[in-house]
This record gives sequence, structure tokens and C-alpha cells, in this order.
Amino acid sequence: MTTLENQSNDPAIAGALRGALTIVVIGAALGIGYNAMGLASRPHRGLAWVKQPEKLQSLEALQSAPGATAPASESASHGDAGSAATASAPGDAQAATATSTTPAPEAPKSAPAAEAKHDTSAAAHGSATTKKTGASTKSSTSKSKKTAAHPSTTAPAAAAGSQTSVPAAAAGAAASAPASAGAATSGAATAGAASAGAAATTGGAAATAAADVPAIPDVTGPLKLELATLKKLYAANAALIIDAREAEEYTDGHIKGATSLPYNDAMADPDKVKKLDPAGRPIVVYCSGGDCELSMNLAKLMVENGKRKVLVYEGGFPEWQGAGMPVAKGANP
Amino acid sequence: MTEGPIARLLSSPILIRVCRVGVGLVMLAAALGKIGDPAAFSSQIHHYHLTPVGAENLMAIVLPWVELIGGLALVLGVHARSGAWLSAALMTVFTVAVSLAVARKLDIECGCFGTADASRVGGLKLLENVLLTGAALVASLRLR
Repeated sequence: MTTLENQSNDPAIAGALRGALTIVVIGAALGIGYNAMGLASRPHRGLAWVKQPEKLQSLEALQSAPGATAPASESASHGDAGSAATASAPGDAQAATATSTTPAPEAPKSAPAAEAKHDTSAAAHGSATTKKTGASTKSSTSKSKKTAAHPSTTAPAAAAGSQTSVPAAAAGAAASAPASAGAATSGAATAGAASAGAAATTGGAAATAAADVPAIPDVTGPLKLELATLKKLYAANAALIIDAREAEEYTDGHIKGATSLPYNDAMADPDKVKKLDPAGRPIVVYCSGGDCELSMNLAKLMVENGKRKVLVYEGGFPEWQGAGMPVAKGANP
Repeated sequence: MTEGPIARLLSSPILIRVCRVGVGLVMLAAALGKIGDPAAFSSQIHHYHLTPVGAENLMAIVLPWVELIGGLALVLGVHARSGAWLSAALMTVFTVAVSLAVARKLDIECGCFGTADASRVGGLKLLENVLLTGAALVASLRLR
């Protein structure tokens, strides 16, 4: 009987290894031949021989391209509540809608833009996490009083110029939510009564920031954006910011107001993506910059799950932090 | 030199034949699941983040066919030891890849059987791979 000791001295091993190499060569030849036939067929069925790294289209390049879509028409194509507000300053009025019914687990207080906007921002970010965290109704109510009033005094009316009535109406509609819930009557009254004139007088710098908000084309697939553009969106609270890194990295430091949604978690449970509620605003996804692909992968997953206007901030947290922009520490609210 | 009971068991012709057919069938199933959708397999390779992006398609094109020929060699008993060595080498590589994915806490599809199986990497998959690697090594032993 052959023993294991004999196996180790087996002269046929060299022959077997040569045979294995032959199998590799034959297999490779068959695979390459099969793929070549696929590429030659109509329609093409084969794979490209060399995979090109995926490069996202740049938002800035799209905007500078002639014939860029006007924001109003983009928003209108969405057809969701508050889309008129999105046209001029994406999401402000919708953020109010979200905040009227959802808690605000994290309320940034030192962000660069007007505090009112950041209250709205935090609440809107909270809307994405509410289902997960189950934050208290009390905080929701208290926030909704604040935020329901603010949007009408900030971006939409002032930014829209001649369209002042639309955002104001949207804000009013947003404020009606807490009123019907019996949560924030005063907030509802304030927001509902807000006029374009009031917006013009109280908007100030906030309105300027909102007017500066770039329009996000409603294209298929994610786009990448630069720090300068993200700053504008952030200042106007016109985007839902998602951190695609692991929860531990998020805890160590993240963009202030961002919501943690690790790519691995999202892949394991796509419902987390479906439940995200950007309140009509674009979604900005980031990770660690450099070679980090989590943000792009998560962005693609979002698009696959029906999200629109998904942007990838390739610079990631290191660039944001390096630029001196607001950061925060701690777990996902 | 005398050999122990484990060595005698591992040298058993029946066990070696069973391992060859078993590993061969697994290799065939894995190959056929990948050949049908090389694009999906390429994506699954990408999720491991272990290979250069440019090489992923080529791997997805070639690897299933190598598995197919290796599996056929094992099942048909033609150059079976060569097929077994090749299977052992491939299984070692796959086991290392799954180990790294588990160590990095990646929650990704294994891609072991292409799109035919949606199992994810994890401890169980790692155990499967280790057992298959062991079986392939047994299959590579010479029959008396």
C-alpha cells in the first residue's frame, strides 16, 4: 500500500504538477476563446479583456456643459411633494416636511451656515435614521416647532425670486404636518403665515447660500462632486450626507450632520437604503477618500434601490476635515 | 517506518477516489455557475478588493474554465492527480481570500459558485473551504 511517506518521495508529483499546468493552459485557452467568440457575436456577450476602473461623471463638468438642465425642470420631473422648492434650493422646504414628523437626534450647532439651516439639516438627517434609532417623539416635536418655521424664512422664497410663492406654500404645507398631529401649532402658524416678504427680510446670508446651491441633474447613476460644491450644499442644507464607512470610523469622526450607513450593512440589508428619506434632496455619500470605494459602491447600491440624485464626494472625510469644515464624533444618532 | 491509523486511512484508495469525485463535482458546479455570467463573477471578485481592477475581467474569463477542466479531470479520472493538485491550489487561494474578507469584516457574496449560489463569506464558508482543500489534498495522493 502506498504510504504518506512514499507520497512525499513520489517522482510522479512532478508529472502531476506539469499536468496541472497543462490544465491551466487549456482552461485559459478555452476561456479566452469563449470570451472572444462572445465579443465577436452580435450583440456582444463577452467581457472586456481589461476592466476599466469606474469613473464617475463629474457634477461640476455636467453643470459647465452647454445645455445643462435647468433645476426647475429637473425637480419637476421628480413629481414628489415639495419638488418646486427643490427647484430653487433643493430640499429646504422638504426638509421642513421631514422635520415636522421626525426627531432630530443630532443638532449641529457650530456648522458654518445659519443655525436655522443646521437645525433643519440635523432633523433631515435624523429622518434617515429615525426608523433605526426610534428616537423619542418629544425631541421630534420640539424640533419641528423650530424647523417648520425656519425654512420659510430662509432659502426657498428668497432664492427663487419670482417664484417666492411656491416655496412659501411648500413650507406652509410642511408646517401643516405637525399642526395636524397636534404637536406644534405655533410652528405651523408661523410657517404657514410666512410670506415672501418675510423671507426676503430675514433670509440674509442664508438666502444667499441657498441661491448659490448648485442644481443637481437627475441623471441615471451617481455623479461625483468636489469639495467646493459640497460646501455650498452643506451651507444651504441642501443634501442628505451619508457616511459609507464602518460604524467605528464614523464614531471616530465624521462630517457634522452626516448619517452613518456602512456599505457592508447596506449590502446585507438593502432595506436600509430603501428606508432612507432624503426629503427630496440629493444624497451625498462619502468615505475615506483616496482608494476608498465604499462611497461609490454605496452610491450605486442606492441607485439600484431607486434613489435619485446620488452624489459621491470622492475627497472623503480626510479632505473635508483638512479643509477645516465642521466635523463631529460619536455614534450614529 | 510504520504508519499510523490516520495515515493509513488517508492513503485508502477508496477515500482517495471518493475525494476525487467529490471535489471534481464541486469544481464542475462552481465552474458552470460562473461561466454562465462572467460579468457577475467579475463583480464578485471585485468585492474582495484583492486584485487589480484591470485583472478582474481576465480572471472571471479564465478561472471558471480552469475549474471546469480540473473538475472534469477529477471526475473522469484522466490526469486526476493533476486535477487534484490544481484543485488544492485553487482552494487554498479561495480559502485565503475568504479568510481575508472575514478578517476585514466584509459582508459580501462568496462568488464560489458564481450567481448560482448567493451564500456570503463567513465562518461557515471558511470551514467549507478548509474541508474542500483537505479533500483536494487527499485526492492528490497516489493510488497504489
